[in-house]
Amino acid sequence: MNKLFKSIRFWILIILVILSIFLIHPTVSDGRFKTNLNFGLDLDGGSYLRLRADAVVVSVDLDKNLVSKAFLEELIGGKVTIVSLDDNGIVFTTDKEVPQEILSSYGLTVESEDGKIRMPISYERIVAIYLSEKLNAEVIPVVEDNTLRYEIRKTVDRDEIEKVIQPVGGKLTYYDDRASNSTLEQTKTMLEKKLNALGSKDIVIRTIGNKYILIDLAGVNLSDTEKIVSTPGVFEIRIMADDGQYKKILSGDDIAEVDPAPRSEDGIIWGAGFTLNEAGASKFRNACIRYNAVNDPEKHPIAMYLDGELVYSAPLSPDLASMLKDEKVYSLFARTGIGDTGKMEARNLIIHLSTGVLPVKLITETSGQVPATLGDQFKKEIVLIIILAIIAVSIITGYRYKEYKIVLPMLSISFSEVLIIVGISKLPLIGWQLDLPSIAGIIGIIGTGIDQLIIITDDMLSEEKDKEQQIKKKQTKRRIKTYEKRLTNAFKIIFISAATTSFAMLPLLVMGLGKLTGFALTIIIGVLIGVLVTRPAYGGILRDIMISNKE
Amino acid sequence: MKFDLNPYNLDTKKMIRIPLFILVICIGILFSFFVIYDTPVRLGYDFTGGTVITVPSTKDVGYLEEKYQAYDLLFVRDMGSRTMLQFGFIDPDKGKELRESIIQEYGEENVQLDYSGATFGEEMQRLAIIAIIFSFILMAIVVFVAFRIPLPSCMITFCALSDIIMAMAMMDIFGIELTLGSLAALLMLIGYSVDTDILLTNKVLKEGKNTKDDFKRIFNTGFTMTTTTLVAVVVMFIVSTFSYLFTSYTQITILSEMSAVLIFGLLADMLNTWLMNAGFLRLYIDKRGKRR
Repeated sequence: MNKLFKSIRFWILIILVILSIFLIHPTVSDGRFKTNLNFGLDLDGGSYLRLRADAVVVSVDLDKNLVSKAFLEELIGGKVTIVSLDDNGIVFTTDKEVPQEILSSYGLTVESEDGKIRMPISYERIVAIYLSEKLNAEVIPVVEDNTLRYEIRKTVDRDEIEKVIQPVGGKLTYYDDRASNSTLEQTKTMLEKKLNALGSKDIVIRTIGNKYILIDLAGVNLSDTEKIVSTPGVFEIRIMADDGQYKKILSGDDIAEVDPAPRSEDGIIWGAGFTLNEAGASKFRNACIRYNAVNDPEKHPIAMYLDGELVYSAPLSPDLASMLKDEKVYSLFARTGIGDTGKMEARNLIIHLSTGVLPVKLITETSGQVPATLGDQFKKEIVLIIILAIIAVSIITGYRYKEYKIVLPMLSISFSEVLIIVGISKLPLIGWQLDLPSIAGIIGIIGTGIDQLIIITDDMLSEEKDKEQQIKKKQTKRRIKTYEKRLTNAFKIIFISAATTSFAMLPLLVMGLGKLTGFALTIIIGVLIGVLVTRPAYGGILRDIMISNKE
Repeated sequence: MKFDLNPYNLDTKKMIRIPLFILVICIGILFSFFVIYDTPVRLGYDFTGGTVITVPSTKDVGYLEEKYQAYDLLFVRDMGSRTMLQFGFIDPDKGKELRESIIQEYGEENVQLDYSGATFGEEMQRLAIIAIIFSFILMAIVVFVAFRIPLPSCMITFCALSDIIMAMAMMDIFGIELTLGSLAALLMLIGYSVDTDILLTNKVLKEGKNTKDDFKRIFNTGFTMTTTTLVAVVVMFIVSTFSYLFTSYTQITILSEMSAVLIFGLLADMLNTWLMNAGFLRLYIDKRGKRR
């Protein structure tokens, strides 16, 4: 056995097991067993949403002259003759009046020069506005992979776009039902901001491919999650005028920053802090002076509205009122109340404050929730499954080999494999949440792992009887060589089967098929750990046992 | 363990005929399902769109059926301490109404809910087919690269295909739908069920062990392998499916489906490895021997 403790394979295994236990960090507090592990929503309770942007991205190849003419005629509502067309804009003539309000709604201007009209505009804006008018949706030019594309913020099918671009000599060269990468990223960031304010301990929000946004929220139910996600935030700050009516003084744009979490100066009274930008601060000061809130705060309270609904109102504090008389104040603090209720309200207010309107509408593809109590029950069942599975496997192997010197190492190897996989799930970068499919993966790995140990064991034992006679008289050195050769044979088979198992899981891992990523990852990592660490260690242990048995 | 069953005792042709016969029946089952339902296996809500809700157990199934009939209620199932209601895909507004009604009756904190949209389901169907095809191709590539002998490699790949087909036919027989869980199990079978075939082919062709005794030894190893995995998976199936009968636990649907499919596949694999592949290898060696 002395040789075993000199073997590197063996020590690598021991070190990995210790590291994994350290990562799992099992503790017992208040009589409850606790670990450091990240469990999936189906075990911890919570809700999930998979959202898709209501948008498509297209590339079109159009006839410049035709589209410019069609664009102008669409805007002006009459016949247009193009005089010239270049990178700076269009020069044209028309009998009709140019409708200023439509132009200004797109931020366009025109200038007349001797009967001709000149409109400075870029080509991609012409196309964007043309598509926007025709499809009745917001259209934005985007650059992806060095190509000019257009993001249409509405799900429009291929045929509909082709119908619209055909009259202007157009060809659809690219179509994908998704939002542009930058829009998706921006939406994700805004959702992140809104959800962070909820104070859930565990928020996972990520994009899948360039199409979906996936939100996992532990400990929050689906209705609350959906409410936050779908809240379109038209945010306003109003002040009460002398006539008892609230007047709008600030909008969401005037807010530069919102504190991410509720704040309390004395630990009793809670509130939400936020900062106004330059324009906001001066508008706020002017309004407070104009409506006389600086002198009579109680009569002119400040109120916050989200989508026309009152979410908060309070008078200026005396300090703030007197400060506003002298100068602009940027940093404001909205008190919400005392204790947990106050804190909760502050949290909600933060969400309202940081709510910008999401750039695109989101469509729910899948959603759901698991109650925390049910998750707890699942956890207990899983522990039961793993324990019973290991016992069942022990019985089979025990019956087959009837030798504790073989069965014991086999089972400890299998068990350490489970520990290492679970430990790896805690690592940064490759770590993942242990959800129900991952647990199924672990059971699968117990099964396949034992399989490979059986291949090694049988290969080492098989020729025992045939060659025992020959080897008996030869030296130990020669015997070790024979065992090494058998190990190599066994490992050939193990490598091939490990490769088929993990390669077959690759598509699942790469494609992000719903909740199955954890399953694929568990199996692949389990197989890798098996081939690289635990099987070699087992081979070494078994060889040493057999040699020492002979001696 | 003494195994007196050695398929090697059978006539070679019989060894191949038995699994082939079963395979043909299974293909027949899948085909008739395809004719009736448009898909070879019935699709679960992940792939068709729909809502699955579980609520604390109510024995009054008739009441539930009546109350939620208007929401395309497909079935109500008792799963221990909870009751499951599965709904087809309904328009989002109606879905919201359904959800509110359920939450009102049972309380937000007691309701488990999963919703999947219909268009997303179609997308998932497409992805699932791609995943199965790619899994299969990757597995086949590994096998061909590892063995570099065309015919036996083809046979291993064919055995995997046969495992999957038989597992899918059994899903039809036992009424298990294709969900993300059962899909994952099928994908795992693609890579895993060939393990025993790899063992057998490697031993017989590469290590030249093709006597009756050798075969028996390989069979013992392979049989123990499959048995250990089978018992682990059977444990998972029993606990996730039936533990509610003697404890206060609830069924874990996804684990129950996964383990059932794995059990089907492993059983099919025994047949395909030890009869079909073994029979083929005997024929292959005979032919090769004669040519020499």
